[in-house]
Amino acid sequence: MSFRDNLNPWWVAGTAVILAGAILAFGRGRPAATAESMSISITVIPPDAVNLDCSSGVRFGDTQCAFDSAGKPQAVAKPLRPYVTTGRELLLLSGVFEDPNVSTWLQRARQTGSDARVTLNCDVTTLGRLRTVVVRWQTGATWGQEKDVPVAKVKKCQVAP
Amino acid sequence: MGDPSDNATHEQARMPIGKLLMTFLRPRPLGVLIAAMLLLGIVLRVHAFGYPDAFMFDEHHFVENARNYINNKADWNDHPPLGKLIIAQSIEMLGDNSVGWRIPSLIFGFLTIACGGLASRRLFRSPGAGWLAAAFLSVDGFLIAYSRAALLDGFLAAGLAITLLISTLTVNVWTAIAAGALLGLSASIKFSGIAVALPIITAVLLVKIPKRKLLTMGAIFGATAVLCYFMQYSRGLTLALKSATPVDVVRDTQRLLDHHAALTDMKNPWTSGWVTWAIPTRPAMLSYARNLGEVRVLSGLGNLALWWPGVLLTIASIVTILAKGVVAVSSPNVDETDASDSTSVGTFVQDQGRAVLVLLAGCLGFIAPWVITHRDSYIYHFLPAYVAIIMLLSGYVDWLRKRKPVDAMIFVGVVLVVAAFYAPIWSSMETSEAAVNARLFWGAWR
Repeated sequence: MSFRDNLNPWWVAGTAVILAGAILAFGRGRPAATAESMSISITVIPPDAVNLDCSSGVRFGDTQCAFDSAGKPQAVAKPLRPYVTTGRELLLLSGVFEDPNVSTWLQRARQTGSDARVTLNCDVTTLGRLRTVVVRWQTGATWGQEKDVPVAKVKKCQVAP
Repeated sequence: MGDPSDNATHEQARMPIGKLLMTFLRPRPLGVLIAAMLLLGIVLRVHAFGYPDAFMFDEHHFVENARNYINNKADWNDHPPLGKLIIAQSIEMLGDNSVGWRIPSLIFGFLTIACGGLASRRLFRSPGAGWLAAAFLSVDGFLIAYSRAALLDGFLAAGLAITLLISTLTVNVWTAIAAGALLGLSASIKFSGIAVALPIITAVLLVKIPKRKLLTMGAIFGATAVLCYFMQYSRGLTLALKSATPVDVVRDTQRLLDHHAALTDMKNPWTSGWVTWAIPTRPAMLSYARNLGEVRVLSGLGNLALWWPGVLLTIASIVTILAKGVVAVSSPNVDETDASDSTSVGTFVQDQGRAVLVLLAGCLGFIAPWVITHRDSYIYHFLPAYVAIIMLLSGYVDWLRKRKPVDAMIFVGVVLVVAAFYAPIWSSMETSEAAVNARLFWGAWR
């Protein structure tokens, strides 16, 4: 008689069900939690510094969109703005154009009249997620609604050479 | 189709459903595993069902043309109309949204489980084979993904499962009409749907019925199939405000066939040769959304604990049949049937010859078009064949269970655990990129 022949079928079934349940409960991989740090890459052009905006009444610590849910401007030091990563993900970031490296690049681009697109490699801290938010990609353009958009705050950015 | 002389041996398989259910509900280890798998399969099919609310993979081909039928515009897709007409009906009933597009796939997905289970129960003359087939079909990622997407191949998979069920019934006028209708409807979804004819023909040829009756039933079967095909096709042409006479149906069918015959360059990044389906080297990635540390994936990779053993069993069964001969397998001499404790595939094929032949016919029928032509092939062409493979595997595991119960139990347990491990990428759960990469550990799968 081998070891397998002596196994109680209930033990086999019970082990499989418990293992499957444990994998489902604890082993399925967790998305990034709030306040977690991570690196992302986004692309921008100089006009984005004035064109990108979002509108929402939700506040994340000291930051929020530059427009409230009714579309009225609200004073924010480093407002959230919509960006698209190199992987085509939409997200709201605070502090991109206020970052010293990005600010220097923007100043030079304006001086030379360059509209070239650059990639920014940024370290960010996640702040949460907005179920719905309206964004616009150009001043004066119509707002468009987006769903389930992640929100983060920039720690530092590097302009890719 | 069923031989009336098999009635005695079918007795257990024909046990009243209520009594069968009570027998099943008595707590047993295998029953617990099967119940867990069925429950998991339901949850994975319905979890975040409408996600994403935009098109994924090839959905635009079918949803856009479903909308075209609703708006009396031309269908620019290269498949016959029925699949898109089904989606159009759902959109009209439930709205033009992601749930409305995909509900038919979910319904057909559940039909595949139910009919695949019933067909296995009758083919292998064992309730255990039926429950195992339903459970295995329930926890396979390939089938789960196609139950959640507005694509046509899940419809064909259900068509084969229903056909296999019909193939177990006694040959009469009604079963001939039902089988013919299924053939006509399957071919009206995709031309490859014509493959459902093969298991029916195989099943009929394995039953000794008078030649005259055979001819009559064959004529009814063929006529019903042609009628259903022409009706569905002309319905599509009519909705597109085109001339819809039988001649127009033939002409349009010829146009599509010519188009398909020219698709042979295999340049689409999703193409995969039929031989590679055994591994598989290019499972369909239906949806992959990254969102700042969160990833939601819908992968068509199957349950590897079913895929690899199923493919190996299929190859071993074919080799056995080639070695022993179809006649020897389909009508085994009692003396030749091995009543020993052997668990070899050869003995299984000898014991369950008819069921194995019918299932292999269903499997090979859906692979044949890609073997005998150079038409671009994709993994999803394998989906209906894979249903037959899982049913064959369920028959083998049930047969093994009667000889080595613990071995069979361990196998079923492994299938459940693998399903739980892959659950996040079969149902668009919120997970991490690292978790996805751990599951899709081969780069070609991502």
